[in-house]
Amino acid sequence: MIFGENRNLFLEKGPASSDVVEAGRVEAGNLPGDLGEKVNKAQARVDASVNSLPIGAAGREALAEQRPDSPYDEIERAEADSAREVADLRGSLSSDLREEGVGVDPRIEAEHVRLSDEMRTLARRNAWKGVEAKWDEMSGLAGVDVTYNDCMLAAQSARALGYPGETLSRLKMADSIQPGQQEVADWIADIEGKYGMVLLAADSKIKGVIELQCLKPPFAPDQRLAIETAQTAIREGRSFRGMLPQGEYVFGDNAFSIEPGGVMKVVELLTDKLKQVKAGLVQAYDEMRGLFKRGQETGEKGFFRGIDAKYKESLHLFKNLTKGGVPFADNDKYHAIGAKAAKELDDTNGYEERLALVDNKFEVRDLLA
Amino acid sequence: MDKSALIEMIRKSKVLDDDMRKVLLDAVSQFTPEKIDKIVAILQRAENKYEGIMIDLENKKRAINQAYLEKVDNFFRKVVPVVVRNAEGKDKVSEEADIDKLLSELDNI
Repeated sequence: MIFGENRNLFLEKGPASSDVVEAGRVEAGNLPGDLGEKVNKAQARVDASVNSLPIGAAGREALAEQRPDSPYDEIERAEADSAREVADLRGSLSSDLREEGVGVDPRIEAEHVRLSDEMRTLARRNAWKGVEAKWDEMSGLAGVDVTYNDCMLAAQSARALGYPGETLSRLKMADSIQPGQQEVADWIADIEGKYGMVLLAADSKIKGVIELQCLKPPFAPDQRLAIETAQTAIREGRSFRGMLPQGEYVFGDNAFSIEPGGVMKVVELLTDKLKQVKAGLVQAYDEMRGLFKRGQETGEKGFFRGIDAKYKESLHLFKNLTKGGVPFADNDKYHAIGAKAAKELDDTNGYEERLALVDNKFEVRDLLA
Repeated sequence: MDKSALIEMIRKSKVLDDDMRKVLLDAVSQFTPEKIDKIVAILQRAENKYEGIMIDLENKKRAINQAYLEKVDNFFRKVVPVVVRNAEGKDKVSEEADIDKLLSELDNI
């Protein structure tokens, strides 16, 4: 034969080939329907061109090699990424709602009720260490809203064991749950009128026995107990953070006085190295506070990113300080601001990790709000 | 915002899954006005983030589809004509060879 089968076919279908090209070109650029429909139609047109054009096996192979990849895999990946983001968002929302007391696991609430009952039973027997242990357990229950009565029992327990600082904190917690109780207001006023906050710490590198002395011990038994508790803490761990009755004291070689209320008195015995560490940490903390204030005023994420960076940079200083046996006076606010920044940046793990380092979440609730 | 408005918000929420929606609806009756304000703020923030995620997804899908259509357009503008031309060229060469062969056969008759 002079003319092969392909040629006959090509001559017969010639105009149709250019139609296919033109139609495909036009349809790809301006297909009717929404974008999804256009993509479906464009894909069908590509299939048709590869399969129906009279271009021989080699041509078909060349077209198949150069045809555009389907967009569906890429779309599926984008959808999977979004699904993960939504799951993270729901986890974070769930955690926020739990903090507001919504969505507490019924088993955890049942445990809360059990611990409340045990605290009452132990308090009736004056078993205050037991009450304290149950309060600690209760405080560790995620999402549980402690009650006014829980806080009042815990405040009595703290007073009986010589922790006026803890007593005050629990009374304030009770006051926030059920405001306007005269009994609570009187008790708070009594503590604030007689005690002052203090942080005493000695670097573990400093040799010798470090002790706390009260120059004129008070007569009131609860005040004497508070001093004894601080002295025991210093003997055992070389640091104490809490409240001491108004008076004159000596810590190591440092004489100091405690005045009621006011700012926390910090008396530290530090080596030069730890002084430098602390200075760096205090500077970072001050910068974080400045950024936090501006972040709260403007709501701009950039300030929270700045806090996050400062927190990460300074965390090793914090660790070095505490490893040296010296608590950071602004421990709770430092970690709370770091946690708040993580939360603003949707870093759920960072938020949880930093929050775990806050000793008294109630005291920093405004920062975390 | 009052309780009925919060209930409406919870029902319409896109970010809440069914379990979370039920837990919130069960708890609403005990909320104080302050608690309602806090829950509304939390929900609103989450709802905005959810909307943001959905808008991002739509934009990504649109970009992927648009890029695909452009590739298809390019395929029909540039790739297909070349392949068709190549096929035509091969056919012409083959046709000329056939004619030469036929003429040669005719010459030999």
